[in-house]
Amino acid sequence: MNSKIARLVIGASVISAVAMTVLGQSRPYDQIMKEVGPAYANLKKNLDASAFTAAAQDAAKLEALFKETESFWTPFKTKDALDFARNAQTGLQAVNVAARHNNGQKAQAAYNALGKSCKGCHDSHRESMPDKSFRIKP
Amino acid sequence: MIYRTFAPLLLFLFFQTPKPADKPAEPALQPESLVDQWFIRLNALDDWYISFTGKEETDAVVDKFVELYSDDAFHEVQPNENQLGHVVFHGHEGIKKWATDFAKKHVHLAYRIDYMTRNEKPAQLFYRAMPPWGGVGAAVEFSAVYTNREDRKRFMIPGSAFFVFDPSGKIQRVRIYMLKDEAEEIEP
Repeated sequence: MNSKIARLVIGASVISAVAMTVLGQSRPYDQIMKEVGPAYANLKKNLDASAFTAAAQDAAKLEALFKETESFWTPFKTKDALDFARNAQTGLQAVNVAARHNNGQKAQAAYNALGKSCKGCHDSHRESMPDKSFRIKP
Repeated sequence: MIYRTFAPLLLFLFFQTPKPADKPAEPALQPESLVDQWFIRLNALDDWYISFTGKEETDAVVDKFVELYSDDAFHEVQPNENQLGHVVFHGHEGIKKWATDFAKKHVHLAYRIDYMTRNEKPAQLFYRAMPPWGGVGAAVEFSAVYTNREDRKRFMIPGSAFFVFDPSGKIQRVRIYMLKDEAEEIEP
């Protein structure tokens, strides 16, 4: 009986350790950003088409991507980057809620405000290189 | 006949030929350009990037900065939140630590040597001294302009730096004084 409990405890510990390792690893930043662009374009397209269910899904996806963005910047404690990432999430929550209530006008307004966070962060932390690649500035 | 013709010419050429110097003269150190180079590389300490996996890639700019120092150099700065009293960093490893911490803490660096204007003539003043052991000493007043990386607040603080260069132009010692009581926050 005791050995059964011990095995269960060890098994649970191993599973949680693996889960923590996998979940704790953040994806490379360029992968996150490359997903933002198409999702952002989709959101606009769906809002323009009044496809609110799809727009709400896009907003949720983008919110998750900006959560990852926030996680990337958290260890550096870079206030403006963290603020931009958090503001984007707040804006996307507003888009999501408005879209789920079929309120196109409110959803569009919240969507339009998102651009400020993108531009602000890119101006401050994205550097274009001569080969058209980008670098992350501190 | 030939001798008579050419002897005066040969004699003339002999006296025109410069005597070989006993020792090749050492190039004179230019403290202005040495100090300028230090400010250029100090300001370049913000020119690094974060990799896509989140690594702070400071080594290239830090190594360029440390190159300016001799192996047993001293780099002396004001106290900070980690240490009371005057802080001394010694040798390339010590100075690399200072430069790495400095690079990771500040962005948009714009340290500049102050100008003074008299009679409508502006000039950056480099105070120069010749130590008895060789090399050259130099001092400047400067304005430290920088942005804190974390909170993105920008400041300007007056300061002064005293350099001792060895005969090869490497820094043997630099002492930096910053007047934190005169710090001013720059509002955007």
